[in-house]
Amino acid sequence: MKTFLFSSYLMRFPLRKLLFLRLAPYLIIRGFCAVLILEGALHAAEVRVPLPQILVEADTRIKARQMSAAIDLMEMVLARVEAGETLPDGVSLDNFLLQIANTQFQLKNFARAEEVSKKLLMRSTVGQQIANDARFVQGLALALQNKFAEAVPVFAKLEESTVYRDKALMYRSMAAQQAGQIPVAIDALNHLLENASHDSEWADAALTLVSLQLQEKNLDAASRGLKMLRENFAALDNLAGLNILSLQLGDALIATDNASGALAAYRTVLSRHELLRLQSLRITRMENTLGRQKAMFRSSAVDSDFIRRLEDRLKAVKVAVAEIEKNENYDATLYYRLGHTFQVRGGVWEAAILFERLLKDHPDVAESESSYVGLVQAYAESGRLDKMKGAIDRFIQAMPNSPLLAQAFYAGAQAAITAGNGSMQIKLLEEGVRRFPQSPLAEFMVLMQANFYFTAGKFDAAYQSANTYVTTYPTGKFIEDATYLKAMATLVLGRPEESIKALDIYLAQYPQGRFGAEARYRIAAANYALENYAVADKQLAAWLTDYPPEHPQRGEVFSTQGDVYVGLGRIDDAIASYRAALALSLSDEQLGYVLDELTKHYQTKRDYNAAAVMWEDFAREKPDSPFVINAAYWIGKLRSREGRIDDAIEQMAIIARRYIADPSREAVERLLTQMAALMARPPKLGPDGKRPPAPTPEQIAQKVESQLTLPETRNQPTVKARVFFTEAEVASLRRDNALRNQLLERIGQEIAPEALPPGLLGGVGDRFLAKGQLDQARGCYDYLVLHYPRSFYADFGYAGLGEIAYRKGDYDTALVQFGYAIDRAGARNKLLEATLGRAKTLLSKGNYDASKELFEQVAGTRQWRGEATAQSVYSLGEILTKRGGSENLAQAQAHFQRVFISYRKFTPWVAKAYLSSGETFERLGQLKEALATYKEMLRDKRFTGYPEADKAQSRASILESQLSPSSPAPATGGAS
Amino acid sequence: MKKFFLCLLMAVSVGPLCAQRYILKDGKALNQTDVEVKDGKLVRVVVGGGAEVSYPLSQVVRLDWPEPAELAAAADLLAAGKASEAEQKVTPVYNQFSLFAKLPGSWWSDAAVIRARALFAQKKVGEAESAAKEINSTSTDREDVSAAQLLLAEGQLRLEKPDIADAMLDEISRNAVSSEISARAVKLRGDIAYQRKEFEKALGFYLQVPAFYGLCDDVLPSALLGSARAYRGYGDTSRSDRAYLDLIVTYPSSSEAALAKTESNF
Repeated sequence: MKTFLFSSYLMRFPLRKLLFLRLAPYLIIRGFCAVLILEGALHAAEVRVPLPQILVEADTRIKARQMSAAIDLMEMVLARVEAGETLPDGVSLDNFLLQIANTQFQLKNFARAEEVSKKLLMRSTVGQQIANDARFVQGLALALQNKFAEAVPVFAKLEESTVYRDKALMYRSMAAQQAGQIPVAIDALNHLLENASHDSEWADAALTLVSLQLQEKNLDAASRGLKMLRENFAALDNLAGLNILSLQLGDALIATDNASGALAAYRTVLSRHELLRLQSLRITRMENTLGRQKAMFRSSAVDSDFIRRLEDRLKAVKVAVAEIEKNENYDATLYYRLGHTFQVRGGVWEAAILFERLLKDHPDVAESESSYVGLVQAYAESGRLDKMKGAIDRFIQAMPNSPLLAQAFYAGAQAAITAGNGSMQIKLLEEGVRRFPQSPLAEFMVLMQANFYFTAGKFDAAYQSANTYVTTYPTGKFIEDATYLKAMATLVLGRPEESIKALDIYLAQYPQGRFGAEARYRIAAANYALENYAVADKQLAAWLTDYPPEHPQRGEVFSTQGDVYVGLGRIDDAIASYRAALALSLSDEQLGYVLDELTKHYQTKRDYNAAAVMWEDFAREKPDSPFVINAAYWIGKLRSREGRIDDAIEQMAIIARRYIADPSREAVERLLTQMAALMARPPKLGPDGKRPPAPTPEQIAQKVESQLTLPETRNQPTVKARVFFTEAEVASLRRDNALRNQLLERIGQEIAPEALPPGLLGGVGDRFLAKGQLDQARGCYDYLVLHYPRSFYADFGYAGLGEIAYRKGDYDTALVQFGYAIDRAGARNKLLEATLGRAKTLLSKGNYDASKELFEQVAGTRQWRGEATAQSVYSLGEILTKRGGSENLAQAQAHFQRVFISYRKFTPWVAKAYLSSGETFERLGQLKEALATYKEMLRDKRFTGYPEADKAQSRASILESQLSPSSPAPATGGAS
Repeated sequence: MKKFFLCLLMAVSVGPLCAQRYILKDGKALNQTDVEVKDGKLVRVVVGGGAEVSYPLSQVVRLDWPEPAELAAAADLLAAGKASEAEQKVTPVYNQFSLFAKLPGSWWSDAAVIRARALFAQKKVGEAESAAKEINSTSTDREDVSAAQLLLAEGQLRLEKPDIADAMLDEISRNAVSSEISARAVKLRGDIAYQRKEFEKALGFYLQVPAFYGLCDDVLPSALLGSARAYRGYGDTSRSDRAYLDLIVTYPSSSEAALAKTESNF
C-alpha cells in the first residue's frame, strides 16, 4: 500500500518530498552531520555514514537544485544497498531506483538513466505505475541516445498505460520517424489524434502527421490533416511550419491535377503580415508557458524534457520568423500559386486580383513574368478586354524581351474573338506576328489573321494572310485550312472563275479533305454567280446525291438550288427547294433568307394563305426561334390582306400564350405590341357602308384576356401584367393616354417586380418615377438591372437609377448610372435620357465644359427635338450665367429668350427661362427690361402656381419700388 | 541527430491555468468563486465568520480568465443568422465584464463586438451604433476598435452615405490590422460598390476575400454572396450560379446560404 501511494504520486510530487516525509526523524541531526557527510562521500571507506542521513542530504541537494551532488549521494546509497545494506523503513528500492533514473536523465546521463530504469523494470516486485514511469524514462533515454528503433517498442508498451497513453503515442511516433519507420509513426499519431484534447500539443502532433503524410505521398490524408488544423487553428503554435506544409501540400496536389485540393491547401497559408502578427502572439504564449514551467521546478523526466524541447521549438520558430521578416517578397510565391490555381479552376477574377497584387507589390520577383501571362489570360477569360489590353501593354513595358509575350498576344487575340471585338483581335494578331515571327505561335496567329479578315469581310486581307501562310508554312499544321481559305477568299472577292480553279486545286490536293463537301458546294455556288445555272443545277443535284441526308450543309445546298431554279424561272421548283431547305438545319441568316424568299414567291403567286400557313407552321414547330416575332408580323399582315384580322390575332395569341407566364421571355412584349396594333384598328365598314362603333375599353379588355389567358394562367402575376400591358398598348394606339397610364400604374400596384418581365419593369419604374414614387421606382429598376442586366430594356433600369440619384443629390452615383445606361446597356431605348441625365448631373457638379458639350449634343440632335431641346437650350444659358461676365450673360440671355420664343409649349422650361431672363437683365443692370420680362411672364396664366412665378412677382415688386415713376418699364419684356 | 530529434519532439505542455481570478496590484489573486462584485468592490466573505474583506475595483489590474464559452456560441449563432439569440447569449458576458472593460484579460471587448454585430444584424441601427461607439471609446484592443469602426462604416452605408463609409474604411485600412478586419473592410467596400451598381468594382473587392483571406470563415459567406449578386449584376450568370453553389455547399448552415437558395435556382 505504501509503495502504491509512493509510486502513484511520484510524478506529481517530486521524490524529494517523499524522502523528506519518510526521513523526518533524521533531519534533527542533519545539521551536525552535513559537513561530515560531504566529506564522507569523498572518503566513504573510512566513515560509514548511515544511509538515512545520506538520503536526507541528497534531498537537501535536490531542493537546492544541486543535482550532480545529489546523484552522487544517491548512487552511493544504491551501491551500498546492492552491497547488502538495507534502505530505511518506508523507502522502497523501486522508488529509489526510479528517482535515480529520473535524476540521471535530468543530468543528461542518458545511458545511466536507461541502465537504471532497465534494472528497475527487471525487478519482479515493481508495481505497474512505477514500471510505467521507468519505461517512460527508459524510452526517452534510448531516444536521446539515438537508439530510436529500441525506443519504439518501449513506448508501444507504455501505450497500455492510461496515464502515459498520449505521451507514449507521441514519443513512439517521433522515435519511429527517426528510425525510418514512417508508417509506424503515422499509426501512432493517428491513434494519438483520435482522442487527445485539441490543445497546442495536439496541434503540433497534427502538424507532424501532415508532414509525414506528405512525405509518404498520402495527399488525401495530408489534406484532411490540414483541414483539421484549420478548424483548430487557435491551438497551433508553429504557424510558420503550417505555412511551409500547406505550400508543399498545395504543390503536390497541383502536380496531380487536383486543383481544388491545392486551392484548399494554399488558402491555409498566411500572408507575411498576418503570419508575423499571429506568430508574435504565439511566441508570447510559448514564452509564458515556458516561464510557468520553469517556475514550477519538478524533477521528472517529462518536465525537464518538456522545457528543453519547448526552448528548442521557440528558438526554431524565432529563427523562422527572423527569416520571414527579412524576406520582403515572401508573399509573392503564395500569390502566384493561388493565382495559378484559381485560374486552373476557372476562378479567373480571383486570379486577376492575385496577379495584379503580385505585380504591384513584388514587381521584381521571378514569378512576375509568368504572372503577366496569367493576368492577361485571366482578363481574357473573364471577357474584360480593356483590362486585358492594358495588362499586355504593361507586360511589354516591363519586359519587352520576354519570350512569353507571344503567349499573351495569342491569348488576347483568342479572347477578342470570343468577345467579338474584331479590331482588338486583329491589332493583337498583327503586333504578335510582327514582334514574334519566330515564335511557334506565329503560325497560329497568321491563320487566325486570315480567318479574322475573312469573317470581317476584308477578303483582300484574308487572301493576303492565307497566302502568307501557304508560302511561309508550306508544311504547317494548318496548310489545308489556309489553302481552302485562300480559294474561298478568291470566291467572295468576286472572282468566281479564279475561285473555281483554286477550289479544284484544293480538291485535287485533298481528295479526302475536311472541306471537300464545302468546296464542291462552293464551286456550284460560283457557277450560280456566273449564271451557269444548268451547270450549277447539275453540280447541286450531284452534291445532294453524294452526301448523306444528315449532312449539315444540305439545307444551304437546297436553298441555293432554289436560287438556281429562280434563275431558271422554275418558281414552283424553287419553292419546293426552299421548302426542303426550311425542313433542314439552317443558320439564322439562311433561315431568314429562305423564309423571306418563300414569302416573296408566295405573294408573287398571290397565294397569301400558303404564306400565312407557312409562318403559322413555323411558329408552331419552332417556338424558340428568333423569327417567331417575324412570324407574328407576317401572319398579321397576310391574314389582314385576306381580311382575316381575328384569325391573325388568334394565331398571334397562340404564339404568345406559350411564353406569357415566363417573365424572362422579353420578346413577348414585342409580340403583344404587334397584336395590340391589330386590336386597335378601327372596325371594317359594314355591309351597309357604315363603320360600326369601336369596341369600348371593357370590350378590349375582355378580348385581350380571352386571347391571352387560359384558366390555369389567368391569375398568374406575369400573365396579369402582360394582359394589362396589351390593353395599355391598345389604349395608347387609340390615343387614350389616361387609360394607358392607369393600366400601367395597375401593373405597378398589383404585380410584384419579381413577376414582371424586363420590358414592363422599365415601363412601370418610369411610371412610378413620373409620379415621384422613388422607392417603388427604384424597386423596379433594381430588379431589372440585377436580374436582367443583358436585357434589351436594361437601360431603363440604369437611366432610372441615375435619375433617382440625381434627384437625391447623389451626383457621383447618378453619373455612374447614366454612364452604365450607355456603356453597359447600349442605351437602346434611353439614349436621350441618359445623355441628358449626364449633362444635367455634370452641370450640378459644376463641370461646365463637359456639361455644355452634352447639352449641345442634345440640342443639336434633330430626332430629339422637343422638351429635351428646351431643357438643353435653357441649361446652356444657365451654364453661361454661372460663368458670369457681361459677354456670357448676354449670350445666356439669348438662350433664355430662345426657350420662351421657340419652345413655348414646354411650360416648365419657359417659366424657368422667363425668370432667368429677368434675373440676367438685373445682373446686367437693365432693370427696366428685367421688370418688363417679369411682368410679361406674370401676364401668362399658364405660370400660375409655378414657384418661378412667385419669384418673378417678388422681384417685380422690388423693381417697381426701385424704379422712379418717371421711367416706366417697357410694356413688353426684353425678348418681346 | 539528437538535436534534430529534440527540435522535433513536441513537449508535453502543461495547459494554461484555467482559474477565473482577479489579479490585484500587489500580485494577489482572488478566485472568482470566493468573491462577488458588490457596490464597486470585490467582496470576500471570511471563512468561518460573517466578516467581509473588500477590495476596490481599482486594485484589480488584470483578469486571469478563460474565454467564456458563450462567446463562441454567440458567434456561431450570429453566423447562422440567429442574431437575436446571439445577442441574448452574449449580453450576460458583456455585462459581466463591463466593470473591467479596459483590463488585460477581460473579455468585454470581444463580447461587445459580437453584441454590436448582433444588433446590426437585427437592424437595431440606433442601439448598434451606440454599441459600436462604446467599443470605439472604451476598448483597448486595436482589433476590436477597428471592428467597431467597421460597424459604424456599415451603418453609414445603410443610411445610403457611401462616401462617408468609404472615408471611414480608408481610415481603418491605414492602421495595420488583422486579416479578419481587412477582409471585413474589403467586403464592405464591395457592398458600397454594389450599392452603386458598380458591379465590376464590387467583384474586385468581394473576391479579394477568397483570394487573400481564405482563412476568414466568418467573412467568406457574405463575400461569396456579394460576389454571386455582383456577377449577376455584371451579367455573368454562370459565374453567379457557381458562386451561389459554392456558398451553399461550403457554408451550408450560414444565413447567407439560406439567402443564396432563395436567390438562385439551387
